[in-house]
Amino acid sequence: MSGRPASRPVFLPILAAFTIWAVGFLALYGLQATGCRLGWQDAELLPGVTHLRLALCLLLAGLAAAVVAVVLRLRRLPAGFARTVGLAVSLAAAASTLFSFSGVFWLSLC
Amino acid sequence: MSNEPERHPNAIHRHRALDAIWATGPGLQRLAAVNHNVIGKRFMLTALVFFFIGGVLAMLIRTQLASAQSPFLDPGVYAQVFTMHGTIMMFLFAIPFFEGMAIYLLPKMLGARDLAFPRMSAYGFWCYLFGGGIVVAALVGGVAPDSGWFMYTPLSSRLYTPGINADVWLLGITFVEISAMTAAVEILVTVLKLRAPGMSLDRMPIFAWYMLVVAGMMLIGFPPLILGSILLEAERAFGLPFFDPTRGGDPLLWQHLFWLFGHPEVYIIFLPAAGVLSTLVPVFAGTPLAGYRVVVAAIVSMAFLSFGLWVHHMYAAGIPHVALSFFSAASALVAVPTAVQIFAWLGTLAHGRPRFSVPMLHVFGFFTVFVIGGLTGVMLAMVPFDWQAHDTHFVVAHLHYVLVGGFVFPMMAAAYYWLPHLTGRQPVHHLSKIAFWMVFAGFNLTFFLMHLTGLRGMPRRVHSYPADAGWEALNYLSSVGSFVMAMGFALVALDLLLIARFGRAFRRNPWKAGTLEWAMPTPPTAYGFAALPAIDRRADTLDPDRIGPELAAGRGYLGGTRNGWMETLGVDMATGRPDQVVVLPRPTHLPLATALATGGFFLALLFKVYWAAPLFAAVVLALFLRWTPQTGLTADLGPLPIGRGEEAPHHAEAEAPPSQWAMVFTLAADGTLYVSLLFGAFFLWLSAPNWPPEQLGGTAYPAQALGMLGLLLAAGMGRRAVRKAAGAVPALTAGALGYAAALAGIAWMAWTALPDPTAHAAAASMAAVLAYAGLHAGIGLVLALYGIHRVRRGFVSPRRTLDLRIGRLWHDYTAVAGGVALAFPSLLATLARHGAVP
Repeated sequence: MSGRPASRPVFLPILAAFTIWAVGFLALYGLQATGCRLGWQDAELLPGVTHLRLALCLLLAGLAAAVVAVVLRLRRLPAGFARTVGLAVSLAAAASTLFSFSGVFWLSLC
Repeated sequence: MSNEPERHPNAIHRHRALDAIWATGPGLQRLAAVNHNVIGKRFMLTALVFFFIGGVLAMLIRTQLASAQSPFLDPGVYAQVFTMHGTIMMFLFAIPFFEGMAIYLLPKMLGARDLAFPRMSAYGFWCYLFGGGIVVAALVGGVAPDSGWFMYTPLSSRLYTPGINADVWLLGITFVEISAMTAAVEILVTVLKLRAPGMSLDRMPIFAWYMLVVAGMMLIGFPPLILGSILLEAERAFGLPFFDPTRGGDPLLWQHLFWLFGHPEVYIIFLPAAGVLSTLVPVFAGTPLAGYRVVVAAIVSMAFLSFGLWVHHMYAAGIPHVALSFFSAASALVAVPTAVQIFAWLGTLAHGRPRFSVPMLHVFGFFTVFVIGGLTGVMLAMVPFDWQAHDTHFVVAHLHYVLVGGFVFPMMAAAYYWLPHLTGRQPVHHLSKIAFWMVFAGFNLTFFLMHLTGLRGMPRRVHSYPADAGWEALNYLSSVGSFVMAMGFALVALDLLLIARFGRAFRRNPWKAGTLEWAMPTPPTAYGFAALPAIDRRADTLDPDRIGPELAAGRGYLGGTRNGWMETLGVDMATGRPDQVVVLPRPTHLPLATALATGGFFLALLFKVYWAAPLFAAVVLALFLRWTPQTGLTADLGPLPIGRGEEAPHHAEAEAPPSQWAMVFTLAADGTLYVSLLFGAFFLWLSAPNWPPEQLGGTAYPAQALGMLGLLLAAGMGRRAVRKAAGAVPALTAGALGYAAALAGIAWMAWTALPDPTAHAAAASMAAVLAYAGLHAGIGLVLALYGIHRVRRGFVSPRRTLDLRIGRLWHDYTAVAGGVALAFPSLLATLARHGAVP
């Protein structure tokens, strides 16, 4: 018999939102370090808004949108274990995304 | 060979038949043991021996610090002692102890007869024993690691640690970590696949959820440490300057790799203990765990968050504010899922009618100590406070409150709770209470005062301190407390021994628990369950007193024996529907022999006998290949009766057998190591001084093209081989030729496009990435040849393609990883050329 290991959509609802958070964490940290290395913090787009800050804010907005999309998708799942646990984890991931990364709006970047 | 099981007329007959198949033999056969009962107990007992050694070292530390300017230990010995104390407690006690507990308990709680890969459990144990033995032998020989359990560079680099002390740590601990990785894969696959029929994910006992999450964390958390150890050893042994700032390296890279492991490690240690609490508290409260689903959500959240706070160990390293805010926020946030669990336990106690017994005393100890440690953790998560308390004894107090509160007290509760299962004897409570109170009082006297010495400015890891600093009285009291605590631990050990020897006998399930491990004879038989149960509700609300006799009478799945096979059931991981009969391997000395050869490899590196290392590696490979003839089938069997009128295929004919999942998880860990390596090189480009290097190299298009084409050919032929099944030899031969071409391309690339790897970290990174690709191509070649061997020996048919599917996973991964590796030198050279900062 051949084929791939059977997969069921149980772990995806539970893991999706925090996986986005984790990937976003690395992306934000990497972008911040790269931007500082390449001098993006010195190029102002608007008074007080540098290229680097704008890029970080846009990335955070994208992350938040992705996590919210997961939450909305999970709300449409039928009631059950995966939905209950997935929603709880995803709401925690949404709150964590905003709480962990909101410093990109006001803290010194480099 | 028969498909039909042999029926047994009564329980005694069934027991004898099963015991003959599953039991470990006497004498030297004990060294061939693979049974989870034996391996689990060996892990725990060995860990306790290391705990004793680590405890003695702690006494030496406290004796030294009891007074100012003490001449008890000289600074060099003191450095070895505090390094070994931390190393032993973290790597040789805490992790292996919970691994042993999981190995012993998980199959029983899940309703399986053993773990998915018993020989790997045994191999992991021997690696742990030998690796730990090397580290402790170094202590006896006076050449123990002395750079702290965190081994920061440049202190641990060749320049400042010229002896073998640091090599002992790097090689010995990496050797030990083999057991952690095997345990992680073993636990993941066992929890996901080897459960009793009907035990869907939402019916799993909560302990299994904890261990599932912990194993996933180990799979991602340990590879950065293993990578860091390999890179630092490569720097020390061969001069590749990954951490040397004068040649484009950066000591902070070590700190990132170490703490990327090191902080999740705290939760990897805490979560199994929390799993114990989530199992015990409902039993003693007499009511199910409050908020089962919320607790599952909390532990998953905690696992993710724990990977986002490693830099809080590096707040003082000069990291920009915004990056500090990411880690500070995550460090504070992780307290939330922790609190959710604590409130779930308190809620469970409030809902039930708690019975207070010795395990509950230790649960009380946990609550008190761990909550204090958690609160000081939130304090340290705040950057301004951390800058004040950084590297002081306040941090020492915090980490001991977290680790002793969050691990040792729950493990003592677990010891009292499951000792009746291990020994068939019940506690009698003569010594238990006084032992607990001595540990509890001694611990708080020792470590609470360290908060104060820390706030008064006493730095960590110091060998002596000025008499007029105002720290001496507090230190003296701490030392007194530590000796009280040590006496308490000695009494706990004595108490457990006395219970095991003279405790009250009991019939079944002494605590009136609702989990399956109590539905078997105690002490357990080698096969555990005479028949496997069908689960129709959450598996920590069962009635072992009713289920046990039914299973002993053979009323369940796999109630007979068949072909002398060691059988257990595999299930669909979501629903718990049985989907295969997993036939486990018999006891063998091969795990021991393989671990000895692995030890030879590490010792050859340690003593710089480099010519012998490849020989030992070849022996290890040959021995692993010797494991394989026992596995698989040479004829199609079709569905096998499994009892209750149901059928399931042999695992070799199943769609998703455990070994296929093991390869998936192994590749996940492997990929984590690889991504860490790539990010490490990227980090050096971003942060390290002395970039760009004088010589960049990086491009050899014909070699890169040859290597990539070879890898693509191997992957394509691996897929074709699965489709061709028994006619796969031509495809596998082509795949092997593809790997030969890939290896030639990688060697050509290394020869022509790689600058001297000792000159600069950029070239060293390129060399490391190419070596990774070469190693994977080499293993891929072995797997292709192994596939040919298995086809020719009749192990492959259209129904039995498992060997080829496992190979395909490797070939696909190697094509992707190797392709990235072949492009990497060009990419890094381009970045270095164009991203230079004045």
